[in-house]
Amino acid sequence: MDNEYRNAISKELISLYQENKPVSVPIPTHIISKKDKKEHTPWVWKGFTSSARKDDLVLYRWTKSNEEYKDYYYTKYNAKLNIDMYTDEEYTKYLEDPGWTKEETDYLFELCKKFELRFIIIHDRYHFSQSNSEAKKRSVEDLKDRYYTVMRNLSRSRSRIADSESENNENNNNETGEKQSSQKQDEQEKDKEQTAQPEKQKPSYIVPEAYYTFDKEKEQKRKSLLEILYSRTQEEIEEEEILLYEARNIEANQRRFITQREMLLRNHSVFEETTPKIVTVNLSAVGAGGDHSDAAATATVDPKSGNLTSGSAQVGSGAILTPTPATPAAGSGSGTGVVRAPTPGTPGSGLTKQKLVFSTLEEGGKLTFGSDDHLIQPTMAAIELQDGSSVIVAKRDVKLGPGVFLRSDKAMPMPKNKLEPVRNILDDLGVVCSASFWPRPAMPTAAVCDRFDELQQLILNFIEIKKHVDKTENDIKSLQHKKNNLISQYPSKAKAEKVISDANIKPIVKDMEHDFTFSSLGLATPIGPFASARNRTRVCRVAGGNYTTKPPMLESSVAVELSEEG
Amino acid sequence: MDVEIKLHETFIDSNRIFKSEPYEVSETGWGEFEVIIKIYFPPFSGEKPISIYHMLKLYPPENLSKNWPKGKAIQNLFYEELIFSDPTEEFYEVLTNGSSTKDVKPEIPLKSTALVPFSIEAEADEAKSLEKAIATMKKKISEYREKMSNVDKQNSILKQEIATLESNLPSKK
Repeated sequence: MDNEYRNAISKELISLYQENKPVSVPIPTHIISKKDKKEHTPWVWKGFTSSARKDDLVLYRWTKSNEEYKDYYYTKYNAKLNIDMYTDEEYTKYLEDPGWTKEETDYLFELCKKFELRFIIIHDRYHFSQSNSEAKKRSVEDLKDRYYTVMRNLSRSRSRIADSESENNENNNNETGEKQSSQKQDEQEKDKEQTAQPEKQKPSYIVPEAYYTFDKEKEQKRKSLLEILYSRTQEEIEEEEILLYEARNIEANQRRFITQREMLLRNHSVFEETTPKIVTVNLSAVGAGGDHSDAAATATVDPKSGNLTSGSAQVGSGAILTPTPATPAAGSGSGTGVVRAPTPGTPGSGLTKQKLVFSTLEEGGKLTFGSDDHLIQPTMAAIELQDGSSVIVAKRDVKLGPGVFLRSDKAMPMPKNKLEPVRNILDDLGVVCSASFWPRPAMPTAAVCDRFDELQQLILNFIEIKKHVDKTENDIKSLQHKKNNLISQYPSKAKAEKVISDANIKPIVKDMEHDFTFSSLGLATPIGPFASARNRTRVCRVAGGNYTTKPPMLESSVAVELSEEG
Repeated sequence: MDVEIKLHETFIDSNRIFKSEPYEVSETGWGEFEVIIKIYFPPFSGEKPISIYHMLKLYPPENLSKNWPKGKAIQNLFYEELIFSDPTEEFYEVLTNGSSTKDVKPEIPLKSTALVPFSIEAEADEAKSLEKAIATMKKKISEYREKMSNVDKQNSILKQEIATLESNLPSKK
């Protein structure tokens, strides 16, 4: 009924009374009316000539009948270069050069005109020979230098003449106007003969000297350097690359030293803060672990280590409800958004003291598949209550504080810079992830999350090892090169080899494991700085129970191994 | 339980609040936007509301978009678990035994269906594939560890060789 009604009236109308929102109505941008119609100008097939051509060839093209072109439109792009010529007088006065005869200079200028200063071509076509002397070899730079020197001197002398002339003109204008002009005319005529471009002569005075700058030596040096660069041998190129690699290494090392020092300083202070870490929690009688506010958990918590202990203290003070398919056969799992299984053993009311007992249900904490396919389990931890009963929860949930959490939010955190490589490896492994920013499993149940976290941790370790291998391989390359260099300094190769064999070298291999657990786990796991301390155990007392944390090894699962204190 | 569903702000009344089931929104739209689903728990539970962010994409996934049958619905399903850590007694009762109004306990189905792909079976499958990936990764790591020890050995030999060569250099005259 409602739908029918809605369909009957337009969408715009509905939105008008629903909310005061502007309605977009498309307005036609162009309406053809009779008024707009104009007379069409026809296109005609018209012949045209171009002033750039000397042969008066008539070519045809389509043009609008109302348009007239005097000259071919693209003629203006057919620009010609005008090269000023010197007079004989000017040559003897300013342009003499011991290395050049006038004839050769003339020849050069002829070519310059012909090829419009394309010096590479000029150089190519340059074959000046005189009957009496042998032709000199001229490089491109020689030719350029000659041309630019001539032009420089010319423009300098001419501008000087022009200056003095204009002065003269001003002074003598009234007196000997006629004589002057005739004289000037003579001069101009003389120029006309020699330069063949009188109308361009005036502007040529204006061309500044700087326009003709040319530094022969600099040019030669530039070319020779380029030549060296191009004629490097393969070995030279390789050597340069290796040198660059080493230089970069040195720089990177410097930076690393600085950051490492800072890290050390920081870690040092962290250790100082966290060392007195024994915490006792006394839980006095709580009426059926309900209200958090009056949960009389008097906890003596080291304020600096609040996170771990307060979380665990809360765990003890009430019912822990987490998806634990301890009895999955009962079918008491859950869908989205609810608790999954009733924990065996309901929380006893009137807990006076509790003891936390953590143990993995399966042997050695290994996550293995049960015989039944429907039975996959996360690593479990049992929390023993004072009255003897115990609560079994997924170990990953033990540390949660009170409140409600999304399972997928509690997956292992990952440093942002590792995100891309980890995702790539996950793709390669064919693991299907949800398309969120952080890689997450498709069905983040506790059991799946356990495995996913382990996988991610393995990947992080793998990335570290691969990085190390790659770097060492590069190092080996440059070391090999260095070694070869050293060998070449010996009189013979055999001699060098003897020196090496005499030294009786055995590999010294550092134990790298320490480094890896530190750099990868230290950042990625909530265990924090403890991971760096190898074989160091740390005792924490939480809620009456003690457990020890061991730094995780590469092979073992990441989860903190917890064991009961005797 | 109240559920608030925040749509893109260009929708009319983009904040929809539901007091009861079904928590459903039917709208017409296009493109993609983030839907914020905020769940408010009953006051006696003492829980804070929790937000779930869901990227709604109203077009077929890129790798399948070419031959997507016309008119076929696009599903963006995701699975999430809520962990109630340390709930009140009363809330605990409701969670484990069903509320007073409904006597249904939520559970994960045993087998996947087209409508609900998440099941105990799917969980097992994913765990299996993850375990396979873990095994591959472990193998890869052990391979690389071996490689690493080789490379390290080579590196240290080279370093020492260079040191001996340097110290025994024939003096230049």
